[in-house]
Amino acid sequence: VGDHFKNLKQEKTPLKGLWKEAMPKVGQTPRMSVWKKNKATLWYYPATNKKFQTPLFLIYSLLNQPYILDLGPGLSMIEAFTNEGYDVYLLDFGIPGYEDKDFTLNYYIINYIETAVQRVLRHSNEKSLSVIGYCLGGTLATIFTSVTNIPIKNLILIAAPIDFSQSPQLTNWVNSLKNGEINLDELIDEYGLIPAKLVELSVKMMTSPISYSPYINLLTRAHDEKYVDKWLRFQQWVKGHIPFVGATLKQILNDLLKENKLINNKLTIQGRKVKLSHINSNLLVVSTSGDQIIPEELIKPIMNKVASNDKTYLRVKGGHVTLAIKGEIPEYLSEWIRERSRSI
Amino acid sequence: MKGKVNMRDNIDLKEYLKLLGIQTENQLNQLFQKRLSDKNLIHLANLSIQKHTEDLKGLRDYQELLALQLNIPTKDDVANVAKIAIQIEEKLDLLENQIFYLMEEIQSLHHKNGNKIEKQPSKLYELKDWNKRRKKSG
Repeated sequence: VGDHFKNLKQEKTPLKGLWKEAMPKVGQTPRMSVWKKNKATLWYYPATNKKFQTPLFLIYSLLNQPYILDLGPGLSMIEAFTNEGYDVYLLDFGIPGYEDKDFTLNYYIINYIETAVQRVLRHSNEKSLSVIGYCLGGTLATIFTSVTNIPIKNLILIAAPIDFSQSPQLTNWVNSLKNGEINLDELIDEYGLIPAKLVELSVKMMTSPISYSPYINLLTRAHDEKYVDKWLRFQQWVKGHIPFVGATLKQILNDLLKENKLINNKLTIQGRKVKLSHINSNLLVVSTSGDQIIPEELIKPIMNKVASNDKTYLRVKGGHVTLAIKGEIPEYLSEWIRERSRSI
Repeated sequence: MKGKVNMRDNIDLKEYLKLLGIQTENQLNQLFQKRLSDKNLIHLANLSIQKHTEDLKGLRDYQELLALQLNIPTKDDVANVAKIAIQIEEKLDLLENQIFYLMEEIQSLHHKNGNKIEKQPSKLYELKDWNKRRKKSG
């Protein structure tokens, strides 16, 4: 161990001057914007060598920035999809400001997601598409697929919370919220927009309040230039939480967490009833064994609620964002989409 | 030979320390979450949340009063102006969609009548150009 640290001190390792250097550039896969509204952008990543007509439409969470799906060359899920021959579209909701504090889930689903999907179909000149929802983006994708008339050929949900009847983390806190002992509505109204630092702290409290193991990993693999580069990119994302819109948070806490309306088919979005039985797209649900944020019990119950004839549930090794930063599409996912996409 | 043994020991010790660090982190987190889940703490946190909310409300009231006296806009005033811009963008988006719809209808009518469709400059691009010009002119 002594030698290891001595070497780190003497040799030229990627760690030297690490904190002085500029952060590596993320989101490098070639892209162009197709549509913009307020802070949101619909990005188009053309296929390197197009093999499939059915485009992929990615929806990411509202808690973080979506560049986790495109961390850098060789570390990007988007790049991997384009290399496999798909045209990829990503809806980036942008960083909300105080003026967006009244945006509800309804607004995100109808005014952003539904409109973006219409734009994707128009831009790609296709009649249907594959929707991939990651984390809370998966919840949005599920709600959207339940209420829209637009044909969704394939729906892929990765680490998406759907059933909130169980709470594996901070159970007493969640129970207090559910039985009304704690009411955050007024506080959320006062803030309007939940600051990014509070979002980061809340996520930390839920998962690992004390976290130094990433630094141990960095020290033990300090000679590995590729690892250090990946570590830097990932940490940049981990600490890059964005503010959360108050009205949406209230709706998530009250409608989804407290009353669990989504899985019980009681949610209403802009007058449209959200019934999971309306989902008849081919469905692939993926949960990872090491996911501390969204464990299996929060996502698996969707399997019995949808009307899809073709539905697959997969539990794979990894953490909450493993699939996003692998840099390649796992064979099961690649094969599943390939078999259900219209080839050229 | 001695060197090899030392190197192997070093690697093992390094791995051991890494494992120990991760295990300690897990235990610390479990302890932290156990303490955090204490019902008395939750009750206390709820009281603090209520107090914090009241303080924020009071602060906001005084801030608005002061802004009125000083004749300066509040954060809400600025947000309201931004909201108008968002509303206009929303309306433009609706108009753009209607143009798309009309273009498709015209094309399908031409198709039904068997007429050749002359390549007209797309209304969408006209609108986009107009948007660009609008942005440039500030």
